[in-house]
Amino acid sequence: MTIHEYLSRMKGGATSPPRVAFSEVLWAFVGSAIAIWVCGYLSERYFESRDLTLMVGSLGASAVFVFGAVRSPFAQPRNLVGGHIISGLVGVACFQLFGGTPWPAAALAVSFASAAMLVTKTMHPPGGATALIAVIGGPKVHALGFLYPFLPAGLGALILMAVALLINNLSRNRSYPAYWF
Amino acid sequence: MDETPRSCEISDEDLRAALKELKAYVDITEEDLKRIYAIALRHAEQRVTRRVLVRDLMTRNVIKVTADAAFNEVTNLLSEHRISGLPVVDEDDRVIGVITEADILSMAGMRKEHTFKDIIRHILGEPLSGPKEGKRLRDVMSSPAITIGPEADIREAALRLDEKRIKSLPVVDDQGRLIGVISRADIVRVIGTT
Repeated sequence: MTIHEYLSRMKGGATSPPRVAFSEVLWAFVGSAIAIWVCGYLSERYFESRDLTLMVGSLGASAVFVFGAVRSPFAQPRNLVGGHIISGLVGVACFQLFGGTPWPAAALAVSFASAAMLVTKTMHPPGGATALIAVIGGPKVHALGFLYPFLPAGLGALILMAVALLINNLSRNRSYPAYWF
Repeated sequence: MDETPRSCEISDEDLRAALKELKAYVDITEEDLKRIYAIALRHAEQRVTRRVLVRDLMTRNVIKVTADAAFNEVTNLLSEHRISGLPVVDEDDRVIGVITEADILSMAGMRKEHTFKDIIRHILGEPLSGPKEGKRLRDVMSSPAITIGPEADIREAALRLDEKRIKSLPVVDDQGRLIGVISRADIVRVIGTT
């Protein structure tokens, strides 16, 4: 590969996809609002009193996929739930193994999470955030230990999935999921 | 779903192989890829059909008559070639009108009380009761002729045929000279074969 070849790859060249219909924008808005609302409500009502939470930052990213890019493989149940749990496990493992040196632990958590999701065909970009939060999320997250991948990450993803099943299939142009597993 | 995938030649295995060949992660399911392919194929087909020109479909060996032709010559040509109308041209091959079966029938003095048999009999030479005799082709033909250019789209030809409720159009060059004829049958045929 010449330098020229290398640099010319940075030019891109493809065109960005067309903008979606306005109805899609509306469904994305309504769907993610309801999903995060439900998570927040359940979290406050049932979990925070027990020093737990359902609200983890990466769920916001998941909601964007699940309601904004319904047909994407990233948004499908296998990826949504699998991605969060696997990345969560990787993140907690990285913190426990390398937690003494925060930056390397954070970097490894994200990179191992990406690799693990690709290998297990559970690619879900918000999983990277789940893994990162396992390291940088502070004492409350660290205290959860290996519960973190399942609560809040896994359960939060399941709640998003349930709301997505109910909401997305109401739209004439949507059907969710494209595949389950 | 609005767009139902139509049958296309690409199989699921082909798409799976293509996705694998890209090596990188592609954010699309095979099913959606197939739908996009089918929709794109439909658009491509429409684009190709749109490009069919009158010139590509028209009949070039046009059966035509001059304005001084006899009526029985016209009727013979119509029945011999099983066509419903003929372009009428002047000495320079310029289209000055069209003569159709309907024109001949009206010329024959066809009235509601005349049976089909009467009309045939008249066309064969026997005078009909109360016919308008002594008419010339020039007076009976439809004029000016509705024509179309060779570079026009067949959709336009179809539109004109439908609008004017006629069966064929003489195709003329920029000087108005006859170079072909495009009929409903020509357009029907191209739709049937593509």
